Amino acid sequence: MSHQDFSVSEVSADILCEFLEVAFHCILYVRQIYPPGVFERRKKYNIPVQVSRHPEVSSYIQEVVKSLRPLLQSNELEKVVLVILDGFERPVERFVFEITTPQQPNISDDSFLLRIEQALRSFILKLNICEALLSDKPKDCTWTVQVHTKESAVDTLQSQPLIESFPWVQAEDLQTSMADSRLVPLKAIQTGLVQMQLYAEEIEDKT
Amino acid sequence: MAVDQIYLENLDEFVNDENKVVTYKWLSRTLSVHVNQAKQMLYTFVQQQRNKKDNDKLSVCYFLSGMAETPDGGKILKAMVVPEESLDTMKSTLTTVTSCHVYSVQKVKLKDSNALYIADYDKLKGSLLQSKEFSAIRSDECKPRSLEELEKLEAASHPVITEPPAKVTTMNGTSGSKPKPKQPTGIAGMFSNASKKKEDKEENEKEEGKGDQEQKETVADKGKGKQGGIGSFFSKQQNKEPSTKSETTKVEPSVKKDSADAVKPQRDLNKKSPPKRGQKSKKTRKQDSDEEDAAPQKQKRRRIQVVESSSEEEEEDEVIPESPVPSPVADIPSSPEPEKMEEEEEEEKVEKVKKTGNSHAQSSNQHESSEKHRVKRRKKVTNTYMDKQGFMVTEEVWETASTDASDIDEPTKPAPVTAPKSKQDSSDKSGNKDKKVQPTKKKTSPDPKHSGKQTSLMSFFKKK
Repeated sequence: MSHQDFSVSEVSADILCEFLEVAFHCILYVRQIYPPGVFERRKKYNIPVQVSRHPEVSSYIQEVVKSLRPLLQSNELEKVVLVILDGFERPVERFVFEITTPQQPNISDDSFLLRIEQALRSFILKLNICEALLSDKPKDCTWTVQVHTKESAVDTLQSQPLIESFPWVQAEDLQTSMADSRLVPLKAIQTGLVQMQLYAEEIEDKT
Repeated sequence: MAVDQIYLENLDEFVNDENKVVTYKWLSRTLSVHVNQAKQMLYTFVQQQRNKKDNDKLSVCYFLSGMAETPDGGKILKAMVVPEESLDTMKSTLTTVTSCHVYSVQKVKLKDSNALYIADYDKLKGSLLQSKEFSAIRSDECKPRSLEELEKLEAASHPVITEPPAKVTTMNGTSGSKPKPKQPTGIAGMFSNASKKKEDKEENEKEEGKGDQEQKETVADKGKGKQGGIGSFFSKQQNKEPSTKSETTKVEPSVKKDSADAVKPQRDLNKKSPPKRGQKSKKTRKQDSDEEDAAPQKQKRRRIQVVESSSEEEEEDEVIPESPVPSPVADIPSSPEPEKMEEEEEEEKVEKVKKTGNSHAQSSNQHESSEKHRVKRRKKVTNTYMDKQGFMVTEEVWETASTDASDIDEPTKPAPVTAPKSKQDSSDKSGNKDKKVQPTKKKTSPDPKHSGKQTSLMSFFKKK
């Protein structure tokens, strides 16, 4: 039984990692962080998604997601946040993925992972049309990824050799706090493998 | 009108409150209305919102189709989904506009067509096999398959067909996506009929074309009545109400989907292709056999399989020597014809030839191959005995029901037996009796099959 659980948690970690990668690319495209020419259309979950072609961007996202994987597997990840910062390094928008894995993840009723695929598809759709809910952001934005987790997890993470080549640093307060933010819920799913919630926070005045 | 009002309120909810991307296809399926009515509703909704409620946040996409000129002077039919802003520019690129109606309404300004595809995806996939009553595409020839046809296709779908690569190239090569190799089931069926007609009719259309289409209303029609486009082809053929619809838009997403993951679905569909393909005779013969076989077994099976024509027999004779360890474990419950047994026995013999280098076996093999053509029912019996020099000798003799073969057989066999024997004696006098015994042992080890002592499936067939 424990062996069974172990492999399921690996599977769910893999699925979430893939999804986060696709979602990050999607957000970058939709929020026009990079010019649309940089993106090319690829297929994921049987739908077209825009993925960045720039090697550094895609490798950066890959590294980020790879280093998140052990956290996902041990269920120590609270939130993953993609923060969009303006020219002054103030967060302007935040896309927050709250992820919780149930104690006993099981895929018994979804052995082909179809429902998970459907749920993730709906996430991507929502990201695609989230623009309607958010106000325009200023030009010259940069972005970063922040992770909320437990302190013990941070220690174990930093000791892993994988992370040493791609270190995570503690986020500065300036980058974490948003004043007068408005919360826009985007999507929430609940499946046997994972419970995920996506919402966006933005500050009122983006100029 | 009251009904419409309710629908419009629903639409309002979908678009404004839930921030959905509402395409006419999705709307038609959700509200269970005909697509033309859905298009009408979208249009009315947009008008209402913009004029009466001052809601300028709506973004609308239109479906536009019409004739255009190619640089070489030919004519092509274009069908496209355009955002509102580009509607006029795109219209000007077309010489005649055959169809223009609302495709989708949403609050968000779309960056590309991804969202349109995703918005419909689940709904469309869920209702693939449902009735097409809400669709405007009709065909008299499109009928559900009868049970017999289905069963035939089931049987034909088992052999793995190597055609898919060829089909993939044709699929990707033609923009009209000729799904002829596809099996028509449901939507795919409509497309195959539809596109066949489209191909046929395109030539006709060009001749009759313009005059006919000019009769149809073009710009800003309200989705009722005559919207030409692809439907005009069908109307000509069947004298029906011109059915509109983005058969092409349906084809487009499906073409995209198809070309994107072309190989796998092609394979699946091609498996069901009718047994008309007589060229693949060997593979179709496998219909009766193995789903349970292991893959390598399957490979061997193809070569060793029962063969009806003599030409193929010869082919298999050549093939057999190349095959690896014989598969005496025949787990196929197909009718065990003696020919099969013979073939496999021949194979073993060839094996022995390789292993022992015994010409004796070879000659007997040749005899058997020649005899195969003549006699059907034969039993091969091996006699093992000690000869004068003290060597074990295994002799394979055909015992048959009919007299011809056996009579011819036996006199020839002793002769080659003795001749190589002398050669062997001289060469192996260095006293490797063990060696001598071993090769014969090798011969004998598969043989017990014939005596039925060892449990193997060959004996199972033999006794039958």
